[in-house]
Amino acid sequence: MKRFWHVRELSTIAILVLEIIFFGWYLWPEGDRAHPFLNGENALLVLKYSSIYGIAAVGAAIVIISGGIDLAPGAIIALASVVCGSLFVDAGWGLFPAMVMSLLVGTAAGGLSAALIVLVKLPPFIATLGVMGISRGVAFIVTEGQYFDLSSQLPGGWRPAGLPADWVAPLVMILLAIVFQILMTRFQWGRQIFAVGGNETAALFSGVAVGRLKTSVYLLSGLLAAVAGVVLALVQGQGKADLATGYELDIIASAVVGGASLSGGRGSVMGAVLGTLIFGVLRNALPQIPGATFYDRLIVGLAVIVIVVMDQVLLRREA
Amino acid sequence: MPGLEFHDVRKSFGAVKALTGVTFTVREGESHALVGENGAGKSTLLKILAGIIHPDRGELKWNDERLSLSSPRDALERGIGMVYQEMLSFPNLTVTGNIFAGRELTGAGGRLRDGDMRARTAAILDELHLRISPDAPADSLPAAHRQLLQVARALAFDCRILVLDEPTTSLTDAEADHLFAVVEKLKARGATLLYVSHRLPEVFRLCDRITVLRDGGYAGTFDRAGTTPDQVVRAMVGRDLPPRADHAAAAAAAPALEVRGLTHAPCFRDVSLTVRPGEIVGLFGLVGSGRSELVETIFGLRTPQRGSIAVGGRVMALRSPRQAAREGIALVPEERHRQGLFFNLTLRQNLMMPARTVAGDILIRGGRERDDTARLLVEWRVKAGSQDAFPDSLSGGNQQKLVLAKWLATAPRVLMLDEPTKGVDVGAKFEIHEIVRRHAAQGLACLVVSSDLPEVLVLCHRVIVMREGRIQGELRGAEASEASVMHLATSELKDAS
Amino acid sequence: MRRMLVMVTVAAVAVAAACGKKDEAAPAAGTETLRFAVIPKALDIPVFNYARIGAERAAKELGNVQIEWRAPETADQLKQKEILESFITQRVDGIAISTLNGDFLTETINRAVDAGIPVVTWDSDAPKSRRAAFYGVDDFASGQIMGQEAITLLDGKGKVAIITSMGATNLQRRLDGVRDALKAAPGIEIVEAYDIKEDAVRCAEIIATGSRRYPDLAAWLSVGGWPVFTRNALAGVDSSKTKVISFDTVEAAVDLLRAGKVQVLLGQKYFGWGSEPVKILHGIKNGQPPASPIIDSGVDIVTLENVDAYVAEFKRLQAGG
Repeated sequence: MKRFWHVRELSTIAILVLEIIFFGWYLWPEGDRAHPFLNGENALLVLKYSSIYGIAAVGAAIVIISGGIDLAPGAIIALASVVCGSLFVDAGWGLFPAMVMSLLVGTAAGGLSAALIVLVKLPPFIATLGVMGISRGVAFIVTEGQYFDLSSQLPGGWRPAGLPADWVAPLVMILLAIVFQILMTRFQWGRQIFAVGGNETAALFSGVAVGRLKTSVYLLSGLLAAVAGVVLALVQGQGKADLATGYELDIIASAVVGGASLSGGRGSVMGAVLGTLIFGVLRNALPQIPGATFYDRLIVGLAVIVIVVMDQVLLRREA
Repeated sequence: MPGLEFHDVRKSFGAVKALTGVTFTVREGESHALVGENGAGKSTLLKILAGIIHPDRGELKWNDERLSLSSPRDALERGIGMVYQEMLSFPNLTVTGNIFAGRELTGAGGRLRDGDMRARTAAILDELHLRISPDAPADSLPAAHRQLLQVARALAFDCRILVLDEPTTSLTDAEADHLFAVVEKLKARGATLLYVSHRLPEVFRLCDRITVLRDGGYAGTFDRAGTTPDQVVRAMVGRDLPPRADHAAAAAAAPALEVRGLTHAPCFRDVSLTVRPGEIVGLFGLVGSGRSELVETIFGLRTPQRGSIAVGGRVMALRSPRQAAREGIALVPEERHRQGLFFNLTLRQNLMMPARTVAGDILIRGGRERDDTARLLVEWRVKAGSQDAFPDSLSGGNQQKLVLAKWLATAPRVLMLDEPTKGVDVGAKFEIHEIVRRHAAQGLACLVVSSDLPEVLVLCHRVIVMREGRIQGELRGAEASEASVMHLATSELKDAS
Repeated sequence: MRRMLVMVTVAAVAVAAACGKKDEAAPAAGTETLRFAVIPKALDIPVFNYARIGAERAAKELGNVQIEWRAPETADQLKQKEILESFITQRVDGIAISTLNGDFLTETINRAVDAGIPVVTWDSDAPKSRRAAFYGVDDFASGQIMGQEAITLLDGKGKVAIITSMGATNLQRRLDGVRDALKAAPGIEIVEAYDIKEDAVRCAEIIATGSRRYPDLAAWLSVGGWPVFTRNALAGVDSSKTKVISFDTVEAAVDLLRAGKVQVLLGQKYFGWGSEPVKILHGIKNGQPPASPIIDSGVDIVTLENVDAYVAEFKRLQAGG
C-alpha cells in the first residue's frame, strides 16, 4: 500500500518534471535572452493561477477517495467570490469578516450536498449537480448580472502577513496540501475515508460512522472550494457569478491525473495538487508557443487520457 | 491413455508457485472430481483449461492430441464447457440470449437467426427438464436455474468435457439436487465431467475418481470405491485432523449477552436468548428463519421494534454498529467480500480498522499497528506475502480468517459469527473452529449462526433453533444431533414454550 | 416516502422564493399595453445592465410599454434560442435581441416575423434575417476603429497581441476589423491572438504569461472588456512600454484609464442599446417603421482628454436625465 502510493505520486511528479523539461527545451530562447518559461517569476505565476484549482482539488480528491463525486466546486468558487465581493465592496465589511463569511457560505453549500447525500440518500452526482445549480443561481441573484470590483478596494501594496500578495495563494495551496496529505495518511479519519470509498458496507460493519464521515467530506469540499473562491476574488480582484465556469471538471480531472480512482478508495491529495500543476504548466506554456492558444483545449484533453492510460499500464505491470 | 491428460503442468505468478508440476488423467466418459483446499491450485488449473491463462510448462492432451488453448472462446470451440461458481450470466438478456451470448447463430449479413436459436434453446431446456421459457429474462430466474443455464450453454456447443467449478456454493439443497439430477443424466449419456468442489459429500455422490491437489502439487488420485472421506481430507490438508471438541458445559457465569423479547417484524419476533462468557451458542435455522437479521439487530444495524439487549448486564439501545462495537459486540458478517473486507486497503489496514475505530483513535500509530498485525497474522496462520499485501491476494479461507482476526483484535466481550466458514476450505475451517474455541475458553461469549449443521454440532455447546422468525427451542450437549436439530428447525411448534 | 416529502418541500420553497420577486407594477397607461421582450446576450455581462436601464426608461417615457428582460445566465446560444422561441409562443408585441450568433438565430427570428412579431436586433445583428432594424455599431467597423487607434497610439510600429474569445460572431467580426485596419501599418506585427474562452481569470493569466513571453510588446488589444473589469488583470503590464486598448467603458476601466494603465477605451451606446430598439418597436407598432434598417449608433472613443466629459454624460444617462 505504502509503496503503491509512493509510486502513484512519483509518477505524477515524473510527468510534471518531464513536462517542465519539455517546455524548457521547446521555449529555449535564442541568444542570451532570459528564458521566458524557466524562471522564478514564471513559476510563481503558474503556482498563483493553479492554486485556485489546487485548493479545490484537495477537497475534490478527498470526495473522490470517499467514493463520491462533487460537481459543485466551480459554482461554489464563484459564489464565494461573489459573497466576498458583495460584503467587502457593497456592504462595507472588513476584508477579513467578508472572507470568513464567504467560507461559511461555501461550507453551507457543502453541508447542503452532505444533507442530500447522507439524509435524503441521493446519489452524490445528482445531489452535487443540484447544489452546483443552486450555488451558481444564488451567485447570480446576489450580483444581478453585475460584478464586484474588489481590486479598487484593495490597497496597492497589499501585503497580508508581510508577504507579497502573489505568494499568498500558492502558500495556502501548499499548506493545505501538506495538512490534508497528513490527515489522509496518518490519521484514522483519512484511513476511514479510504475504507468507505473502498467498501462502504464493510466500513459500516467495521463500526465506522459512515454518515458522519461523509458529512465531514462534503462540508470540507465546500469549505475548500470557498477558500479557492476567496483566493480567486483576491487574485482576480473580482467577484463575479460566471467565474470558474466548468472548473469542476478540471478539478476532477486533476484529481484523476493525480491518481484518484472515480470508483473510490484510491487517490491522494498531493497527487491531485500535482495534477493541477500539470495543467497549470500547460496553461502557462502553451500561450508562449505562437498559435497554440487554439489547441490548448485539445492538448489538455489528450493529456488527461494519456496520463491516465499510462498510469493504468504501469499499474497493470506492477500487479 | 485416452481422455483429458494434464502432463507436468506448472505455473508461477511472480514468486508464488501456483502449480508445481501436476500430472493426472481424466478418462473419457468418467466423472472425475478435483478437490483441494483453497490455494491448492484448482482455480489455476481450471483457468489453464479454460484458456484464460497459459502454463509456464507442461501440456494438456485430449485423446493424445495436444490442446493449446489461447482464449476462453478457443476452449469452448475445442469442446471444453465451463460452469463457474460465480454465475457469468447476462441478467439483462433472455435465456436464449445467455446461451448463445458471444456465439450467436447468424445468417447472411450477420442477421441473427433468432428462430433457430430459440428452437435449439427449447430443445436443450427440455433435455435438462428445465421448465423455463427460452424468452424469460435471466434475472427472473432463481440462482440454480442460472447455473443450469451455463450447463445448457455448454450443451448447446456440444462440449466433450463439462467442467463444473464449485457449482453448489450458492444453491439451496433442493436446487443442488436438481443440478445433481442433471449431472447424473449427462453422466449416463457418457459425458466426461470434471467436477471441482470442496464439498466431499457431493464429490462422493457424483464422481468415479477423485484427484487431490495440495499446495500446487498433485497429492494423489483415489477411486471412489474403497476410499473414505477422511482419507481424502487427510490428503487435502496433509496432516491429521484435530479431535472433535467436547461439549463441556460453560460455567454458570452471568450472561455476557442477554436478549429479551426482541422483535423486528416481519424478520423475527419475541426472541430471547442468553450467551454466557466462555460459551459457544449455535443459532441454527433454515434460510429465511431470521437469524442474520437477528444478529444484525443486536449489532445495531437495525432498530428493533420491541425488546431489549443487555451486554454485561446493562441494557442498552444500540443505534449503530459503531455503538455496538464500543460496547464490546463484534459481528463477523456473512458476506466477507461485501461486508467484511476493504480490497483497496492493505492487510494491516484491514486488520486494524475496527479496533482503532472502536478505540476512537485520531492518529495512526504505525509502529504499534505493525507489531499488532504481525502478531495477528502469526496467531491466525494467515498465509500472506506481507502486511502490505492486499486482501485479494489471499485465498478465501485466509480472507475469512482476516475478517475474524480484525474483530478479535477489538477484544470483544461478545463475538457473533454469521456463517463463519461459508466457502472456505477444510483446513481453514478447522483452524477457525480451533481459534473460536480457544477464545471461548478465555471467556469470550460466542454466538454462531450457521447453516452447516455438522459445524454447529461440532463447535457449539448449545444450539438454539429458529424457524420463521421465532425461537423454536434449544438443545444442549448430547441432546443436539442432526435429527433433533432438523426436527426442530422444520416442524411446527407443538406447545407454546 | 420521506425522501419524496423532503424533495417536494425543497422544490416548493425554491419556487416560492423565485416567485417572490415577480409581480412588479404593470404600467398604468390606459391604452393597450405593449409587451416588448428585450434579450441581451447573457445576464452576466455587466454592460448589458445599462441597456436594461435604457430600455426601462424608454418604456416609462412611452407609457404603455412593458419590458420583459430575459437572457441566458451565461453566453449560451442554444439557451438564447430557447428564450427567443418562448417569447414567440407567448405572442409578445415585439422583440429586441442582441444575438449571440446571428446566423444561428436567423430562422427563429424569421419565424417571429412570420408570426407577426416585429424583431429589432441591437449590439449584435442577424443580417440575413428579416428583422425590421439593427441598432448598434457594425462590429467590423468598430474593430477597424480599434485598429486605427492602435496605429495612431503606436506611431505605426511595434508588436501587438490581441485578446478574444472564440465562438461569438461579433467578437470574431471585431477581430477581423482590427486585423483589417492593422494591414495599413506594415510596422505593426500581430504576435498572437489569444483565445481566453470567456473566462476572465484566464484573461488575467494570459496577460501575465504573454507579457513575459513578449517583453517588448507595444500594445494589448482586447476586443472584449475582460482586462478592464478589474485592476488586477493589468497589474503586470509595464505601462511605460506596453499600451492597452480595450472595448468597454465600465467603471474600473475608466479608473484604469485615469491611472495610465489603459490608453484608449471604445465604448458602445450602452443605454441606447436598450432605449432605441424599444422606441423603434413602438414606432413599428404605431405604423412608423424606421427609415433605414441599419441605424449606426457610433462608438465612443474615450481617452485621457475626454474621460471627464464622458463620465459626466454617462452618469446623467444612468441617473435618468
